[in-house]
Amino acid sequence: MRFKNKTIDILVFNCGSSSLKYKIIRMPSGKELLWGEVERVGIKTQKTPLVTHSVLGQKPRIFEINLVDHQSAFVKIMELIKGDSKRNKDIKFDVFAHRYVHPGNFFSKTTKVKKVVLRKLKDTLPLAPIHNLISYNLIKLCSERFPNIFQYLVFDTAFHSTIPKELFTYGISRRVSKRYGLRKFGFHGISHKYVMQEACKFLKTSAKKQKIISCHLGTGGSSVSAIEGGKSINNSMGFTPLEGLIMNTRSGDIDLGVVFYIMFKEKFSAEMAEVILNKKSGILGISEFSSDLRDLIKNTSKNKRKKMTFDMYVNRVKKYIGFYSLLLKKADILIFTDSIGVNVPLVREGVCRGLDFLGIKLDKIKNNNYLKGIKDVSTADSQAKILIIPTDEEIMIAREVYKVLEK
Amino acid sequence: MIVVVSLSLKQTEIWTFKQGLGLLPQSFTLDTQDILISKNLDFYLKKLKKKNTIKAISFRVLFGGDYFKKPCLVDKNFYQKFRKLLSLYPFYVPLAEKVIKSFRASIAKVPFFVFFETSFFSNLPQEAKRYSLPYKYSSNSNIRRWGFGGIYHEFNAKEVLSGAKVISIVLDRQTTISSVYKNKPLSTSLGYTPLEGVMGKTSCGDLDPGIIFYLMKKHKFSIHQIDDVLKNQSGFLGVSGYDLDLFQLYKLYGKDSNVTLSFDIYKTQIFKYIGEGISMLGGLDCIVVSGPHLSALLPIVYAILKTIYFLGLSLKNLPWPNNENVSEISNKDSKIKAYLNHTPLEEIIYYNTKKYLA
Amino acid sequence: MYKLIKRKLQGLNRDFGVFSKKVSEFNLTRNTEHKFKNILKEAMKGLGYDSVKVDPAGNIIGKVSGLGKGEDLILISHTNFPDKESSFSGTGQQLINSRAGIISSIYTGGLIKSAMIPMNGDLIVCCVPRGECSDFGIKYLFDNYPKRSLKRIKGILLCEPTNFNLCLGHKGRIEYEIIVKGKFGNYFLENKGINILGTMFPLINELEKVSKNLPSDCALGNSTLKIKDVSYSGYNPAEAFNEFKVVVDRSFVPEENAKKILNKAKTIAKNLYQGQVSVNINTAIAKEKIKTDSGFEVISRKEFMPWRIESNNPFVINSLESLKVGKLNSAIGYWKDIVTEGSYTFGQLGIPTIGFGAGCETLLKDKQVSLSMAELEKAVYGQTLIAYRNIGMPAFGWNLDEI
Repeated sequence: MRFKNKTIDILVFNCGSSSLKYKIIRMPSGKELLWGEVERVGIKTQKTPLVTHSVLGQKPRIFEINLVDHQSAFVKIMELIKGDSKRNKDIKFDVFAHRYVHPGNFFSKTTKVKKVVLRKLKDTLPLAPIHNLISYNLIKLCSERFPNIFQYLVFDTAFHSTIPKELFTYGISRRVSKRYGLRKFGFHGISHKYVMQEACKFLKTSAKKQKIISCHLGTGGSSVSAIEGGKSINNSMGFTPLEGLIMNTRSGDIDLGVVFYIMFKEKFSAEMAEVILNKKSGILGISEFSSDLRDLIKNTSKNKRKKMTFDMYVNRVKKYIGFYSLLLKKADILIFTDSIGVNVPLVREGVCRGLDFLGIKLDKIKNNNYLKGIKDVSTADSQAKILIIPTDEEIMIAREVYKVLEK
Repeated sequence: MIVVVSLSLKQTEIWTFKQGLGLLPQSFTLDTQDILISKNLDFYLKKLKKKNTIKAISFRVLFGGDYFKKPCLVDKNFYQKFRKLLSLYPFYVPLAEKVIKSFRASIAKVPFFVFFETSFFSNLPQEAKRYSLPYKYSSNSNIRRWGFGGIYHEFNAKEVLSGAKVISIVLDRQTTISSVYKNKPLSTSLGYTPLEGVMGKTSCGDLDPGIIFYLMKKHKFSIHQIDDVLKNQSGFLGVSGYDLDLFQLYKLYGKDSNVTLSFDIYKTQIFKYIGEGISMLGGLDCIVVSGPHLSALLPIVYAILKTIYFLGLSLKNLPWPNNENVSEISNKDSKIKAYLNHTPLEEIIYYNTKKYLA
Repeated sequence: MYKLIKRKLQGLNRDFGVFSKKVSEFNLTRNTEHKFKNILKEAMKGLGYDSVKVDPAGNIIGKVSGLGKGEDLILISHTNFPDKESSFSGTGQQLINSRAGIISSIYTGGLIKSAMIPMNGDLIVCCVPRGECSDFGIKYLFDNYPKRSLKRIKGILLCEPTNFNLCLGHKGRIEYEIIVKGKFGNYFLENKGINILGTMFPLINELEKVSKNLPSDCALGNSTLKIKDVSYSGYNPAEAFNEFKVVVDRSFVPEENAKKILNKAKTIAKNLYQGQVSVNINTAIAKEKIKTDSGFEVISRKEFMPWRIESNNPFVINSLESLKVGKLNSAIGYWKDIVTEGSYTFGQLGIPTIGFGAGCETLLKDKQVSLSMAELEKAVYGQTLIAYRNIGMPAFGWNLDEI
């Protein structure tokens, strides 16, 4: 109400499992007053956490700092912002906005944080043990330190609420799935929605006419979405972010018989087994070298194990592209986004190899020459456009929050 | 005369074939438990021996693990190797061993062959066999994608359009979908257990592993309870609520919303694996559909294959020709060929046995 | 797997019926004891048990070998050791209290063997002789149990009547004697013309009062006191040597113990008779002399300890869950009237012990009870599920009716 016809500065926090991104975005123009990222926090890779911080479009300060978890990263960021706002009165913020990964059946629209919301969120913690806990703690810390500033939550699952029934229902006993609310939710909705919108803007076409496969391949989680007519009809993640692609430390799809066998043999509790599947599997588990695909590619092409890890990763993405190509009857647009999708041409090349049949032809030179921005790296005769689109969940979050504040 | 035996926990089916005559009427089914305690088997086998000389007996065994990469003869080493699979299949292995020995007790001096449902998939590439687990678990020789339905899949790939890019679909109690190129498998839907892949009568197929941990942590399920739900109470039974065979169940399609939902989920799961197969093959020359449930599920097969028209599959209209074992259901001008393979399992084994004897 | 077990039960139905009739109708006396043991032995052999033996104390021990080197599970049922006068026939409460357990436990082993249900360790089925109130059989069994194998026991399942619930314990029970010797004064109950029998009345009265004020345990029930028997020698209280004995059947909850009970009894008697001349009062746990047909002899104390296993013990949790998944509506319970070998196996040795079986521990009044085949089969079904869950080799993911 009090924000109508005024500009609103939204401080957006975006927690990944291994990163914390933040931006102060002035809406409705979308101008970034300040942006930053803390990378490689809270997870095992080869390097120390790295902070990148830029004010008013100036050259970013980059420094390494030992931060133990996301909460200490938050404290550091708020310190930096405080310092910046002292030096520059343009740097301020009116509301907080958070990305919340898994609200289960409780929430599906952008929600303002209140005590009752916090209480409900606590019930959602077991749904995504890594992400929800990180976000929840951050939201709580935020409300303790800044009790007078409103906080808004934008959910990762909201975009996927349009998945049709036969695609979100599992083949599990209906009695059990009904009783415990088990269904496919899908994640990275904010990112997939953003790149879909940007792709259509880039190609100057309406989303209503497009069939899109969107690959959000990150160093934390990865997922593929099938989008038809602007609406999500599937996502590779499921009830939890554990389903789907092979990720940095997550197994993705796996035969549950294997999980039971190992749990019984090794006498693992649910907590122990979950840690193994969530934090010790995936790229890290197979390669035993690093959880970051970029570290793997850098070091060798002659190491069998690293090659196998890479092949398994790429094949799993191809599985979903094949599936979604059938659902959509061939895609018009194939999008690659997030850190690995945007920065690792070898992955795009590996994924697109052999997909000519599905109308996807990658132009190797364009692919290797990609530097930044939104580019089409498909060949001229490729049926589908292959777009590399750096994601920007923060601006998407700001857009969603602004929509709510406008009313 | 060649005898083909299919070994299940519940029943043992026995078929007899003769050169030139094909399947003989002296085929019968015995309760497996019965074979172990009574003299029924001896009685029936002696009757068979009187009518014709038995040249060979071939067994269809469901699991071969890492030790049986090809069909093999039952010799001194067989039982020792087979026993090593005990911890993987504790119900099946001792029973199968005992049944084979019971046959041997009645019939000596005749070669016994064993065909495994898993041996075709021993040729899966490394990256398709491994699970994305920590290396110390995935390198355990017991944890692999073993595959299932290999006897059908191998036949579908090699005998219809050998060497081509083939997607083979087998509609059986467990529906499995494999992609094969140059007669070697590249991917398959059922890996270790029916808790991966396409759903079955009571098994759930693909499921988010996060669900297990959620049920165990928040709702105090044990692994045995969840295992029971996923393998005995899910699938078509769990989603539709009806305990009917697929043929009966399909009659309710469109009439009961849960039955419709169950078949729709089934279709999307099949799509997932056809899609995976096409990606792995980098193209598609031919789709072969086979399996005991084929005739019951023809309308579903039609619906699924019809949706692939956009890749170049021009499908004949129903009703499809049924007079030969392998019949083409794609039009002459279709870029992608599609076939139905009605050859029953026992005939495939008979055919393979003949090749081995020669 | 449930269908597999049920199919096997159907297959064994005929033999099961014949065996259960034979066992339940058998008239067990000192003379027929040997024959009875043979019937059980032959049944085990006929079902394919890998080894069957009878030890000197009369324990019948059958083993169904496992496929691996895992832990073992022991199924225990009991037979009532016939002393010279008594005979036990298998009708009514007798049938339920002992024969049902024997029948169901032997067939549980048989089912597991013939259906080839894979077990990691051995299943050991024991039919254990029990005295009137003494556990000499189980004591001998474990005194002679190979030490290495003792560590390998996962748990013990008592096949006793629990009405298909999972019973976790019961009160203790002892039979004790209060022996009062002495010369009673002339004026003791003077002028009443009472003989030595009458001098017991004050004690009996006092014991009756005590029986109305005994402690109770919320789970295990009330302690009870019953006067089982009285005996005396001598006719004239005032004359030289006289003696009377009161035999008490006493069940007690964990807060009491045998020593305390005996002391209390002694105190009561002393208070009543202390004024008398040369009175000597003694209390002791009753004993019975056991001599089996194989020449084994033992003097056994008539004592069963109270015991109770925690409901959060993993053995209990796993077993209860296996019954639930098998669609048996079993609840946690405790025996209120009977005693079992659990007093020794858990109370003394600390081996995890639970009970499951058909029938109720006490006959309902005026009800002619016999157990139907369906109930006995249900007991076998439940016992098989418990055994498989605890020491079986699991087969995840594959529906056993589909392969």
